Amino acid sequence: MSMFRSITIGQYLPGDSLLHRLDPRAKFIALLLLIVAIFLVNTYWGYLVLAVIIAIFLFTSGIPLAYFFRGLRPVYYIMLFTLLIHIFFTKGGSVLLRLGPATIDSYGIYLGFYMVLRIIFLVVSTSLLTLTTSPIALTDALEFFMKPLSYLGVPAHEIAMMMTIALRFIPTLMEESEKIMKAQMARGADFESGNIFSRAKNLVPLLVPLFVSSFRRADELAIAMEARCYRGGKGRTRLRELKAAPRDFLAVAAAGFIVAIIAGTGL
Amino acid sequence: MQIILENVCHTYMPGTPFETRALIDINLTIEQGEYLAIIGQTGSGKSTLVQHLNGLLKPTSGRILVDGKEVDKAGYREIRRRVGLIFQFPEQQLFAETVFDDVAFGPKNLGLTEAEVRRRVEHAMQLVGLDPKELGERSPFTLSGGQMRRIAMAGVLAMEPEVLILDEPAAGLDPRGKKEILDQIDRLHREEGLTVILVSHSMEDVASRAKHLLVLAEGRQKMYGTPAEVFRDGEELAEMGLGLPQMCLLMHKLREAGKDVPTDIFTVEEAREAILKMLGVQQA
Repeated sequence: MSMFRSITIGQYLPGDSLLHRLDPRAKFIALLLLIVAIFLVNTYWGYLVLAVIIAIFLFTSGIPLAYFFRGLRPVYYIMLFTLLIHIFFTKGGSVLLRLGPATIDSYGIYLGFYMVLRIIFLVVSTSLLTLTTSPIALTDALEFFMKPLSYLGVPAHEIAMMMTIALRFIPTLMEESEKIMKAQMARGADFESGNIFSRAKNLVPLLVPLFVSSFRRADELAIAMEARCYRGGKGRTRLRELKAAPRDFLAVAAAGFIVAIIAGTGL
Repeated sequence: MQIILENVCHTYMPGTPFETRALIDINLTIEQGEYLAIIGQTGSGKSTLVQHLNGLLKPTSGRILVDGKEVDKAGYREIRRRVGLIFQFPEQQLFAETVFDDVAFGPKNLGLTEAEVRRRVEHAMQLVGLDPKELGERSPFTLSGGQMRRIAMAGVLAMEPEVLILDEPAAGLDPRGKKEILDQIDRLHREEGLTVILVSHSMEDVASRAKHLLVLAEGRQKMYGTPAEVFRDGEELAEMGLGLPQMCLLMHKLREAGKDVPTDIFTVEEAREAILKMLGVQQA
């Protein structure tokens, strides 16, 4: 019954590395630049350069490497599929193997592994952000980036607040569903067997109480916020101001430099 | 039924940075007809412990014997039928359209006949002091908090368990509601012969009711014995952040002041008698 405990939300692992301390906005921009660099890479040499850079951050982040590989687990099949498609259908270079009408070409193998590496780099570098940045800091950064949109009438603050609240309550809801599930299991409920329809039906004793308490919670939270004079984003100041330090600008500049090198040298 | 815990340990999320050792080396025997109170502060492992008793959690190490046999995977259903567990704030688990259907959820899962389900639901509702005819067809969500809690309790009692575990059954109730619920549990123990395991952080509530007390702190078993035995050592309890019952504390203070009074006293009535006796007043 520890299924809920194995899910880490937003994957964030607290720590005190350089990556942890960077401004979330700087991390966001740097990640975007890094992704651009990953897409610009033309050769395996380019990947080697990126691999060295990313590895430095992996090892200094203080996060167990297993967490990065765990992030890759959901994309195993996509990676396998990509590899096979390229091996069998991308033509070019010399023919390595002939299987009846099908051939396996050297370029197919080259491109297949090239694409798989691209996926690995994308997932691992994104994990660098999500593992070292708390969900709340991420939403703060998002609110900052959405601010220009508020001049167009987009409720940027409200959207960010909703995301913050949703994130805040995910662990609470998980705890609660685990508790309700156990309570119903103690009354003989079965959540684990049966076909898809009986399983869906068996979820009713879990979902009804969960909705009831969510609505109650939402109501209470709204009252608590109003009692403290919350009235949206207007004139609201922050407890934790995002302040960019020199190192944050440096991080973005370094990421830009990597893109320039990759693009400039054609690696 | 008899439940024995042998060196039971439980660790949440082992092998991650969030690893927590919730239970450490618990040894305990719960006999048929026992009335055990498990006491400890928040986070002492009380709730984790009781979830082991009906197979909702499995020990990380150690074993649990029920009637001399270790419970395996096939035995969990059987155990959950025989050991009823009422969680904290059980009213949060209500889901059905009518009170009757909610209480009937457990018996129906046992695959009983409709007549038997009806009999059990009505009996369980009477046990918690609710009228099945009056409330049976109402929506549980229209009732008062106290009534909702009783219905949730009836939902577990309708499974007709041999052992009843209650996790903070009186939490959030006013003093009167609290006394009513606890008295009802006493009655279930006395009249229905249920083995009762009561989880609480309040000494006051359990001292005069339970046969045995188990004191947990930081996942370890700190004290075990009859209430009189456990409360003899007031200082150790205070160190764990658990106070003595008020009357017991009063007796300890009187004793410190050099008065000759017994210290195993938990209710106001007992205290009154003891003090009158100390003063040499003859009671009418």
